[in-house]
Amino acid sequence: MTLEVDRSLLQTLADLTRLHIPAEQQDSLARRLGGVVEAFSALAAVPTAGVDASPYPLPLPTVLRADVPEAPLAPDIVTGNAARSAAGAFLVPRVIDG
Amino acid sequence: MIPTPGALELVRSVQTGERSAVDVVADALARIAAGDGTLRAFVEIGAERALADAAAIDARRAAGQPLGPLAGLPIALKDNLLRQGAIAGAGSRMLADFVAPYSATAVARAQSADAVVFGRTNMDEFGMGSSTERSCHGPTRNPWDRTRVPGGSSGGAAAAVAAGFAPLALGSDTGGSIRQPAAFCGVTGLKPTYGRVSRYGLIAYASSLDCVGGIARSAADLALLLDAIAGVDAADPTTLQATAGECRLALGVRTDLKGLTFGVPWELNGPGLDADVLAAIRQTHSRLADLGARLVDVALPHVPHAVPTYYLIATAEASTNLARYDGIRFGLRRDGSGSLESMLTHSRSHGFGDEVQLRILLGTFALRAGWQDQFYGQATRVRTLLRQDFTTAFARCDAILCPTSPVTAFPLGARIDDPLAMYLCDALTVPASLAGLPALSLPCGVGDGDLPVGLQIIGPALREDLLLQVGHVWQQHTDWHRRRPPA
Repeated sequence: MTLEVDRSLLQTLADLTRLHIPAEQQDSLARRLGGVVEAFSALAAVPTAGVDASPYPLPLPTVLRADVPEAPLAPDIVTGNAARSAAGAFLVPRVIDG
Repeated sequence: MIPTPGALELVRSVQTGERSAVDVVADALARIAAGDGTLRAFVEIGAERALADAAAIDARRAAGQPLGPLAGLPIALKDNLLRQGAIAGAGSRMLADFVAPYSATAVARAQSADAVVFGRTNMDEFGMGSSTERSCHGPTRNPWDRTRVPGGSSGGAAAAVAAGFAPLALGSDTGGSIRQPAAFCGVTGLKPTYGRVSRYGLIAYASSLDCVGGIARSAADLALLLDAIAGVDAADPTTLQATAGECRLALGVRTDLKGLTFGVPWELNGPGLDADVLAAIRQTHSRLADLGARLVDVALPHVPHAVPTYYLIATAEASTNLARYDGIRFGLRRDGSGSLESMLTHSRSHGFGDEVQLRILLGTFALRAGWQDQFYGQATRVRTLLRQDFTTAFARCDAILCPTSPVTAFPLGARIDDPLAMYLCDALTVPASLAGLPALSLPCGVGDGDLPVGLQIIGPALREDLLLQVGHVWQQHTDWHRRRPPA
């Protein structure tokens, strides 16, 4: 399947990733991304029928820690890196009218 | 200025009281002050805190308390590893003001062993690069030729060790980010087995690939570091439960390479290599045979697919890992037009650099409904085939040899506008990353312009002891690791 990365596809990806691509950069970025996608499309030709996926490089057992409460980070430390916070909470733009 | 001693020598001098930790750290700081103005290996030094930490170690020794195995050793820290109370910026505008609320396990363990972990070494933003040109702080330069890159993404760490600013550096390696800069800068670099060292406190790039490791002058110094930082960590469930022997103790086992068989896969020792790298590697093979090793041909037939496999998996994981940068809990915030959606988009667009944005877009593309199986899914299946290639090869050999990089350090700016050309720099390092295997890069010769060439030794899982033994024997019989860049 041949895929062309055009402005429309780029805008879809930008919307999904919450990135703003300035209009004057869209053509050049589409070309860069399209070049990479085209080169990597060749991977589809590798025979993999019946091959299991390896999302991790080594088999990883499920590890459970002891069910013992641990002290979390203090609220002022957790919010210490937020651009805006108050009363131990993160402040965001208003999302509900009224 | 006198030549800088190695880590082992420094530790002995502090443990015996021949030198104070403050003296050792002050010496490192003086070297950085004198030499880092043009190299820019560090984005921050933190001299005051480093000297205070060293003074605390000296006070403990004066009180008669025993010191740890890294006593007084200055260890430079890559900018993506957390040290409590210090900025960890990952080379990004996004995290320029991020103060670590806790320390990475590797950092805490090194400090528990009485190392003085200090500074922030420069890196490609979030580890996404092979040249350290993709940092919001500007590029680091190669100590051997300041018109050239130091490699990446741990380019600042490799340059710092090569220039004698620190005997050891902590770094991370996702697809070659320790090994390739170590090769470009003529120093020794180790990517451990996936899960051998905890990633807790490492700013994530690609979670099925990220590893914490080190850069030093010698394999012996890396053994010292690995023994201190490796092991199971409850805070990182991907750390391996299997036990592995201490590397430092294993170093004295061999004086030569008799009885060892090294596999030489054609796929990693011919196609795409520059002629000067190929010549240096062929000489290295002969020298290894002179030291008693047997070299045999092995096949890794899926290695030619490793670069697209790696980049599809790594960018897919990055696109999800970096979704956490929303301008709310940490990181840069730009309000835009005032809505939540506008704030998210403006924060991310201003915070991330061009290459990071490209990789987020590529990873999102690879995971998108309709294409996910053709791109990300196919990459995870090819990864299985690649893992099987290594298993088959290790039935015939103890370790696998190849150059660390197909090229020597290239000029600044030469590849930055061509993502595919930059990605191909990783062709020889990403196979071990995809398979989760340990790999060591050793200085083994020089190419055109007297630039360092690195030999990569890839071992079976958890056989860092073997890799470091081989490296130690090699460095007992050669002096490539003792060469110093021009002042």
